[in-house]
Amino acid sequence: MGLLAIFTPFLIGSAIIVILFPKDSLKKIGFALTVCLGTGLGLGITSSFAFLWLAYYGQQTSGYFISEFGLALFLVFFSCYRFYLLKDTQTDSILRSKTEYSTIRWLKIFFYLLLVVSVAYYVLKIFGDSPHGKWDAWAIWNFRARWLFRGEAQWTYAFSTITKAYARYAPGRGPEEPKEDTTSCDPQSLVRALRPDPWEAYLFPPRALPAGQCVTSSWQSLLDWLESPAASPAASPL
Amino acid sequence: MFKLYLENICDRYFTSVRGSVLLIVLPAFFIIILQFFSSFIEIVISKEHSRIVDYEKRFVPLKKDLPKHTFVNYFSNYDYSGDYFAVRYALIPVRLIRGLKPRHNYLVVHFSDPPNIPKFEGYALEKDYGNGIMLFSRSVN
Repeated sequence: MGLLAIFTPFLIGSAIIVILFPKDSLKKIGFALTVCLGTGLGLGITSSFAFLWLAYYGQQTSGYFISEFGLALFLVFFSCYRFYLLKDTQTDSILRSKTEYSTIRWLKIFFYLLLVVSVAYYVLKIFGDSPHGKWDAWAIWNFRARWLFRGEAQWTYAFSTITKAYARYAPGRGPEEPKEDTTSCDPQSLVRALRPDPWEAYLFPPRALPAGQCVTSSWQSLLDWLESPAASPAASPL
Repeated sequence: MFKLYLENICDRYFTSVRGSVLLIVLPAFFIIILQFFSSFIEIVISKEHSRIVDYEKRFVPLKKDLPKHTFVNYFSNYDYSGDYFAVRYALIPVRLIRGLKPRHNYLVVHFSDPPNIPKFEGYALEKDYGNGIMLFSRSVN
């Protein structure tokens, strides 16, 4: 399932690399570079896209996955077109010459050997030892990412002050452990718990969350206050 | 062309460069091999891995029984300082409240050595998952 999740990002990122460098991106070492760069680039693009979708529509619907896959298909078709159009039109005598590498053949062998061992080490660590990352990775960043993905209508909890406070909290070493605000259905107290920065209020518009949800009403009350002509610090719901 | 030209110059004037390269490449080679084998022994042979992996596996059945987005009290006697954080991470989107106050409808108990099923006032045992994890639900308002 994890590998399936990076399939579309991989297609999107690799297609972009092929579109940008149609001549060398699928040849020899260029192919390895395309795979590595493409996966990272694709993950960055799809993560940003998923977040913006979440902020705009409130939940990740099937429409998101269809859009992501559609974008991947479009880019793959475009990159294939560009690759076949340009692959024989340009030549580069320097890049195609083989003699220049012959003098450092021993270094190449070393490099490939190290590459294979490093990849095996990486795979072993990622899949066998720490699939969720080290302490700070899962306790801070994956925790937020998981809330974004599984939190449904309450995904904004990923950005709450409680979450921020826990990110700074080290058990036994202080500061004082934050307390969870449990009055979940009282909009005012939930606003206090979430306490967004001003830019967050503009980033998550009121239509972002489905009606009837506690989080919706808290964001709504905040936005109502921000947009009201008589907005003043004294009248702030925060 | 430019690269070949530079290589020729290197070969002519700086023959010792290969020795310097070897000084970097050889330690790198042995360090990576050593790291790989130490990880292989640790992960494959000794079956050691990050604690969060265990937490994820152990809390899967409990997670299925808890309604999403509910507040749940959590009580544990584990020494591991990251215990609460690991359970909190494993049970998302359930919100975990450490301790018994304020009271909520569900209480999750995580015991490292459960000799007997503990009793909590106002709660009744709903399910014992058998690995130190128990789910209690509120019996008295």
